[in-house]
Amino acid sequence: MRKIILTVVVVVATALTSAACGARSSGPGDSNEPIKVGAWLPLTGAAADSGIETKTGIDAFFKQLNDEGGIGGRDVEFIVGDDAYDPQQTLQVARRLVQQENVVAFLGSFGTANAEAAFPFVLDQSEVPIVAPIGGVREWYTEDHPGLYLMYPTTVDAFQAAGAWAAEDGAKKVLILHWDSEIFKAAADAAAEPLTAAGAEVQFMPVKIGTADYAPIVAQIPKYGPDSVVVISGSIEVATYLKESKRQGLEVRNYTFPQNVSLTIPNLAGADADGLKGISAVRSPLLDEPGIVKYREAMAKYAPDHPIDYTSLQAYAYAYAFAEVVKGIDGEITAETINTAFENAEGINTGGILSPLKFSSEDRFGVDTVFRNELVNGKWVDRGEARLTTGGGR
Amino acid sequence: MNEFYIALVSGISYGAVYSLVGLGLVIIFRSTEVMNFALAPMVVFACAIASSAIESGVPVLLGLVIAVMVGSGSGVLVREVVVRPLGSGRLFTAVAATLGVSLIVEQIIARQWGTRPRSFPPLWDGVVVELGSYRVGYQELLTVGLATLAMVLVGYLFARTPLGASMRTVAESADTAELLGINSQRVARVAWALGMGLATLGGFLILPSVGLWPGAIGAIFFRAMAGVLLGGINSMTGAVVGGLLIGVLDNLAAMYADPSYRDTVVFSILFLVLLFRPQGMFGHTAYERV
Repeated sequence: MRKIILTVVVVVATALTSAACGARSSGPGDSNEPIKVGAWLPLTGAAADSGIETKTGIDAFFKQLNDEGGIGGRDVEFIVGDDAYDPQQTLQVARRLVQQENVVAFLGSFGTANAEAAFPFVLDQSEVPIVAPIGGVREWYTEDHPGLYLMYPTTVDAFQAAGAWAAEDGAKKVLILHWDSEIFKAAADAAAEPLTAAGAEVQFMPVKIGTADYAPIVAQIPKYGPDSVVVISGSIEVATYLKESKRQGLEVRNYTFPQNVSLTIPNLAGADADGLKGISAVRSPLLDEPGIVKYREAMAKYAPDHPIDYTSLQAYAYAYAFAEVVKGIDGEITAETINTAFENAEGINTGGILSPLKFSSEDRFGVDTVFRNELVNGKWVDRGEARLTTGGGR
Repeated sequence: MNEFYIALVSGISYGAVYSLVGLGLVIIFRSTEVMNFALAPMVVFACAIASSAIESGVPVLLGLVIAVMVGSGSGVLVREVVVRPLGSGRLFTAVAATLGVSLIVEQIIARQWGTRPRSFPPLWDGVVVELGSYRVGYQELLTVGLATLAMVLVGYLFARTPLGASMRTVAESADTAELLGINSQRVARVAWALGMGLATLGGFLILPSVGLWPGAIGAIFFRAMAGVLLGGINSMTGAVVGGLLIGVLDNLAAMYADPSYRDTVVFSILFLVLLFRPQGMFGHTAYERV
């Protein structure tokens, strides 16, 4: 009997020791294991289009990077959890990726409310950095969020840039047509700031999220007599608005923001969308900057079924910038060392896809430039860049 | 003119689609007492197949026929494979089952056709008449015309044909219908095919406006359901009138109240109607002898 008990004790002790060693060997800082980077993205549901293209862009970059030798000889593994754009699911995804997958950072995760649901667990409790979340409000950089590093111009800043563009174009009477939630109301106010500063008259028209029939909305616009309209809604609705504007003979200049600078609007609205001006977070995917050429090569090789588009280019650029920062880490690559590296990162180059980025412990908003685009004959055409007057450009 | 007529014309056009989808829901519900919550993605699936056929050179009109056939066929398939094995009287189980089908079909669409919204061809592009600065398109007229024709044919089928009489009998009582020698399972199959065919017609007509993507018919289904509740869940006339009313009220609310409160206004009216007539405008209350 004693023999049996002794044998059991030895077996259990051996198993526990092996498990402990195994756990250590697959830890985040181990030099043989891949560097695990996570993201919550909507791969299903209403925002799946953006989520899938974001995943595609980041995947393409890391596959290309791994084929070129990875980071210090280690591959990068990108692990995505589908949260269906539901903040409640976001937290579950974040927990799984941190506790079971041992990710050392989150990259390119999607949605403002989704990120805010994850902040307490990811940033405060687990101290895992969140890099380049897509979405955002100004409080993300005015409040103290250690571990949060922003590359995407927040919705508010992007619309301020759209308003500034309209002001530069000489807009005198502007209607801001915006979704009726708090975030988009704040974006509408931000778009109005440079316009009112330039002496333009600004009026607001809230619309319900999910509006299918824009006929009665467009019919009311002439009452405001605008020469320009800033449209703050999703790409399907912007396309519907543009088609309806054409049908009703409405002649105004239209402006919108990064999430709408993609193939969706020209696909849906065709020639009716020509003339739409949009602020994007990245340069046009059709330019010949070295980083953009590399992006097109990566897409051709690793994602040939996906289109060359702003959404995947933006995600590719964020992965590019992340890798540039992590390459500079001397020693173990952990959540902690990634945080330190970002707090001291300057002049991060993405081959011209983004303007050079700069972070510090006081300023976690790394981007100071956005890009202007206009739809001409169904294609987005580069119209130069603009400095943000808030965020990283403040 | 303009504002009121624009809201009215567009409201009738969208309302006609809500009516078709609502009619599809009611026909299925009356025959099998199942509310098909998979209807929206099933319609998108049928239209996506038609879209692929059109892209490969099939004329748009033939694409419509393909879509309706696939929609009807998928209705029969779901009824036979998913709903029928559950047995009768299992309302909540059937609802859960159709919700499950909905998720599966959405995934199939996403995998096969992607999640990026794609353009969907209209049956007939172009402008038929200009009302001031507003241009009414052939597609809008066709939407109202085809929807009206389909509803008239359905009315004729139910009122004047032996099959319609059987369907009405089954709607009253499947047990009584069986006693009278009516094959209620066959009637149920016809109801699912007809209901899904009508809803697919509605989807095919509206997709040029909203684009083709897995969730494209979600908002349409939501408003069609509101129309069904307004008109009466067991009334085909109610589904038609309710859908049209929702379409027009929705637009008038956006025009004269506030575009961000259009749903609030419409659903407040719906709530008021149901407060005084819980069975809806044209619905009837079923009494059971105990």
